[in-house]
Amino acid sequence: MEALLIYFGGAILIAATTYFIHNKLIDHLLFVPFLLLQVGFNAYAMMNIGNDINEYFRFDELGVLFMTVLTIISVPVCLHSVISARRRQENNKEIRIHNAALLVFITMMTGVLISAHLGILWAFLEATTLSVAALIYHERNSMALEATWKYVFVASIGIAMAFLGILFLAVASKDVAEAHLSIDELSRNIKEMNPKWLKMSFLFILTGFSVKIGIVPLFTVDIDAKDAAPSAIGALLSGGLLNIGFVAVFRFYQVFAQSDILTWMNNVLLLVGTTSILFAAVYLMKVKNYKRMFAYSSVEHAGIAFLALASGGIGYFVCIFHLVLHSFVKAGIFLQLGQVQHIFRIKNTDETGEYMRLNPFGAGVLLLGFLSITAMPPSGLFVTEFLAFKALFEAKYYFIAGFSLLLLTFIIYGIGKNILHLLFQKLPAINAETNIEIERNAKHISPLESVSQYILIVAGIYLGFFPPDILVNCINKIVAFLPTAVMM
Amino acid sequence: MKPDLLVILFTMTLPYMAIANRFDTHFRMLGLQGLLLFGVAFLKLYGHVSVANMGFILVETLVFKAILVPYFLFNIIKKNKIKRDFEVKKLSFYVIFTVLLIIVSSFVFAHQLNDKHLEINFFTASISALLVGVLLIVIRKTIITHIVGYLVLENGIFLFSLALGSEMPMIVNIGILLDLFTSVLLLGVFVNRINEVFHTVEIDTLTELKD
Repeated sequence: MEALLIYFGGAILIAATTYFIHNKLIDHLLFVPFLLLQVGFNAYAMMNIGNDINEYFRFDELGVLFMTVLTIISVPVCLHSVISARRRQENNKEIRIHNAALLVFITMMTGVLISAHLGILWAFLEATTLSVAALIYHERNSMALEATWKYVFVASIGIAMAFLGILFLAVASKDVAEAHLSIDELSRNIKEMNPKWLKMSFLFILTGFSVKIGIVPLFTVDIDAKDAAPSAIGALLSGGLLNIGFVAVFRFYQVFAQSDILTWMNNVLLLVGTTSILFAAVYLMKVKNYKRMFAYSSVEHAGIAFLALASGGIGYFVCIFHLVLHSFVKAGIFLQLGQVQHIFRIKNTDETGEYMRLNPFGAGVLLLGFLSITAMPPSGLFVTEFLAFKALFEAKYYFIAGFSLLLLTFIIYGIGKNILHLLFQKLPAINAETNIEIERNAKHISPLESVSQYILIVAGIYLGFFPPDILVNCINKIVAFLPTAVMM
Repeated sequence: MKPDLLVILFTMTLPYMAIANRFDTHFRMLGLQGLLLFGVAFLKLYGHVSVANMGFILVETLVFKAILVPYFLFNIIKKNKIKRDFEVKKLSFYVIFTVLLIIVSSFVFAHQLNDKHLEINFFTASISALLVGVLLIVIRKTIITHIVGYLVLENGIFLFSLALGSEMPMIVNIGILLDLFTSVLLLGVFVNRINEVFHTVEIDTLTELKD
């Protein structure tokens, strides 16, 4: 309990200090105590797995695993926020709002991960919306405003829907015992609850949280957000918030999986997963904007994770493993896109080119990231996607597996076309001045900036082929309670 | 006294809101819904929750929902010199038909659920409000009507949480959190800003972001 107070109190205090101190250097330096706090809390959580803190919070394997991923990604995200703020010569007001919102955002996501009460979980997830809104609006142009407005509006509807889902669950639990929303209490009584309520509850919760994950039905605002927000925030949205939304849905799934609606629920997830991949493939065929392109790729990967989850067996393990690897790779790519955007100032790939010559270190990240994210063999995602399709075939979903595989080829083509254009195509000679400016911008970039991105992407590859025992055991424990689970 | 009459009155505001095209009608109806929710909260929860919590809930419904939000919305239209949502007239017949269909089907659905703990009036009213809110968002084109639609949706959900409130006071508080949080976010921060930047409140102008 004290640890919680120290963490939340400390984080909010640091965020408030960041907001009220009008000094750029101090605002940036305050990332250091926050990250130390985050790492310390993470380590404490690892040592206390399985201990209930109180009725509302708990450290379990699922939460701690994704908290670790979040903490690892937060470090380069904070670092690149500082680099980009200095490069864009942002004023003090922009910096302190951005940094304070970023700290609150990370803290609230951590809060979601340690909630053991569905009401509290929902409240933390809601609180992420506010901080994300400030981050998306960071660049303060009409595009950022449009993206923020759409995100806030649709996320609010999503939040309300998810709340209604929780209300339905409360009605269902009322039939059985005293109404209660703690995960343990619900799991104990779930078998006796009215399945109609549970089905409605699951539908509303999945719809509501789909804004956060970025899957069908409410994924569009998520794409706009990742496009308009600074690249470092895009990295945190794709590598962090996606997992948080998934964990939220997974907590409900875990509880509901003990009841009779499991098969029905899996069918819903199959539908959501397949349509997500379909939408991603359709948009990726025509998209030119490289940030939106990788945002759609997140839709695809979340879709694959849901397909794996729905097929059961080995799929449970794979879906969590896949999301962990995807986080590292996607965060690395998004951070690199910040450099690309700095050099070209334009997000349309048709007007870019020769990135390999302009910034060879960064281009290496993009090339490696492209191979990783499309799950080509040296990639860790290749292993997980292979196992995900194995799970689909084992569960006898032949048609869905075949259809999704077909769509994946379209996705590889769509991403490859743009990335190869960006890397190797000759710069279009629109006017000489632009090209001189591009050359000049490229000189601002230091090769050292790409180091953290290489680490993230190589981690994605390494973990895929040589997962450490601690990771495998952790995921095994997460899925152990699910029916039909197969361990690795 | 049972709150059912108030719940039915709440449902009756929905068709009216769906066809009204003047913004001030919408805002008055939102105020009325706030008042009705105040009554429902009082009748439903009095004696079941602590006095402080009761006070909090009543302040939220009466001060926030019934007075502050409509007042703020009135201010926005005064500042932007807009009065009504155009292009509504020709839709009226279909809209009122749809709303009635929504209410009837929610009612039938509630009966179908056949749950001993379900209060059918509450369920019908809140599901109808949810769907009418979504309907307003889908068929109208100004940001202000979209926000009104969202507030109706939220009122519906709040009403449903009141049905559970006597056993689970916490859920009502979470509902209030939702309300305060998103309303402040939507209203306070953005409507003014959007008008400043785009010089309009028509949703059709927000089309810069696309593939």
